[in-house]
Amino acid sequence: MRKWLFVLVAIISFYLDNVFFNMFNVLGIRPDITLIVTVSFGVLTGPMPAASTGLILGLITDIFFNKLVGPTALIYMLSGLAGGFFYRKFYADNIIIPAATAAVSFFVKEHVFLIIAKIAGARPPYFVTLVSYIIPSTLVTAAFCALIHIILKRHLFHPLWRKEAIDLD
Amino acid sequence: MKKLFNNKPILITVIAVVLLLFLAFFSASSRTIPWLESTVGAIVRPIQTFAFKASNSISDFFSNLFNTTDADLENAKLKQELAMYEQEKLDYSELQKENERLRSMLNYAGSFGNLEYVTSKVIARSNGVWFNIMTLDVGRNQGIEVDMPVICGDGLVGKVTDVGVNWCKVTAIIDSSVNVAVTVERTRDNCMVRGVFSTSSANSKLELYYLPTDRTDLVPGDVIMTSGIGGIYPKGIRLGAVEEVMMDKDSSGINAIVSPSVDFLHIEEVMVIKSSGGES
Repeated sequence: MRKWLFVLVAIISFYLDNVFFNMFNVLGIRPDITLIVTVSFGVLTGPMPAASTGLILGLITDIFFNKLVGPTALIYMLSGLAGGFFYRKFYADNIIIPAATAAVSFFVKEHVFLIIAKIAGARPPYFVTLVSYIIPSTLVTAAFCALIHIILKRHLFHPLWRKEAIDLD
Repeated sequence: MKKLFNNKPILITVIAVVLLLFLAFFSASSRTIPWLESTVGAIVRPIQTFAFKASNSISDFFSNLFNTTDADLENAKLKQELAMYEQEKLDYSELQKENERLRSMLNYAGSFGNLEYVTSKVIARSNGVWFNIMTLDVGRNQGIEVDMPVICGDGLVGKVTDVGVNWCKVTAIIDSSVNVAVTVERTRDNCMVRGVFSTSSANSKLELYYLPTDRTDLVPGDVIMTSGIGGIYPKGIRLGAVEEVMMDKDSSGINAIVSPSVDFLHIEEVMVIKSSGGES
C-alpha cells in the first residue's frame, strides 16, 4: 500500500513541476516539487528509495524537457542520497534538515543548468538571474519543502505505516 | 577499495553517476539515442497529454473568472442552465476556438504556397527557465525529422530538435541558443535574430543583431521575417516587430529588441513544415 502512495506522490510532484507550475508562477519563481519529494523521501525512508525515485523522475524530466539527458536525473539522485544521509540521524519532525537540503540541492541544480545553458550558447546575466530567480526560487523551494515534509510524514508515515515498517524489520 | 566495492549503495550510486554522465555527454554530442528517449517518451506521452489538458482547463477557468465583467448576471444565468447544456456549450466553444486557430494556421500556411505540413498539438513545455522547449504529439511515424521548421497562425515558433516515435521536441525561437537569419520587411536589411534570456516566458524577447552599420532607419514597429538564408526556415515567415532600437555597446553596430508575434505561453496547436515545395 505504501509503495503505491509513493508512486502517487511521485506522479503528483511530476505533474506539479512540469505542467502546473509551468503555468502558475510569479516571474518564473517556483518551487521544485520533485526535488522536494526526493529529499523528503530520503530523510524519511533512507537513501536508496529516494535516489531511485529521483533517478527515474529526473530521467523522464530530462527526456521530455531538457536538451541533455542526464543532468536532472543525476542531481535528483544525489539530492535523494543527500536527504538519505540524515535518515534516522535526526527526529523526523525536524523540518530544518530537509528544507536546508532541498534549498542547497536546488541552488546547485540551477547553477549546473546555468553552466549548461551558457555552453549551449545562452547569455544569462549571472547576478540578475541569481537575484531575480535563483535565490527567490531557492527560498520558495525551502518553504514548500518544510510544508510537504510535514504532509508526507503525517500521511505517508502514519503510525499504522510505521508499525508495518517495524514489523517488516 | 575492497570496502568500497562491498558497500552496495555506494557502488550502485557510483555506477549510476558514471552512466548518467556518459548519457549527458553522449546526448550533448549527438542527438541520437532514440531507443531510450523514444520508449520512455511513448509511454509517458498519454499521461502528459492528459495532465496538460487538465491544466489548460484550470487556466481557462481562472482567466474567465477574472475577465468577467458582469459576474452576478452570468452566475444567475449559469444556475438556470442544465449541466448537460453547459457541457455541450463548453465543448462547442472549445471546438469553435480550435477551429478558428486551425483556420488561421491554414490561411497562414496557404500564404507560403505549396507547403507540406503536419498539424500537431503541444503536449508539454519545458520546466524551469533555462530552455524553451515544447513537446509535440507527432514524431517519426508522421514523417517528422530534425531541423524541420514549426509555425503557427501568428508566425515562426521554432524548429524540431529531437524526434521520437510519436513525439518530438521543438526548440522555440525565444530560446537564447537559437539564431535565425531574418529580413526587415520595410528596409530589406538582412540580419540575425536570437532569443534573449528571460526568467519569465511572458516577457520573452528576441534580439536583432548584425544589422548593417550604415543603416539607421530601423524604427519601432518594423516587421521582422525569415530571410530564407540558411535553408532551414522558408522565406517570409513572420517573427515579430521591432520594439526598441539601440546602439551596440561598443558602437560597432545597431541592435534591436523584437517582440515575438507568437504567444509562447498559450500556444496549443502548431504546424511542422515537412517541405516547402520548392517555394522557399
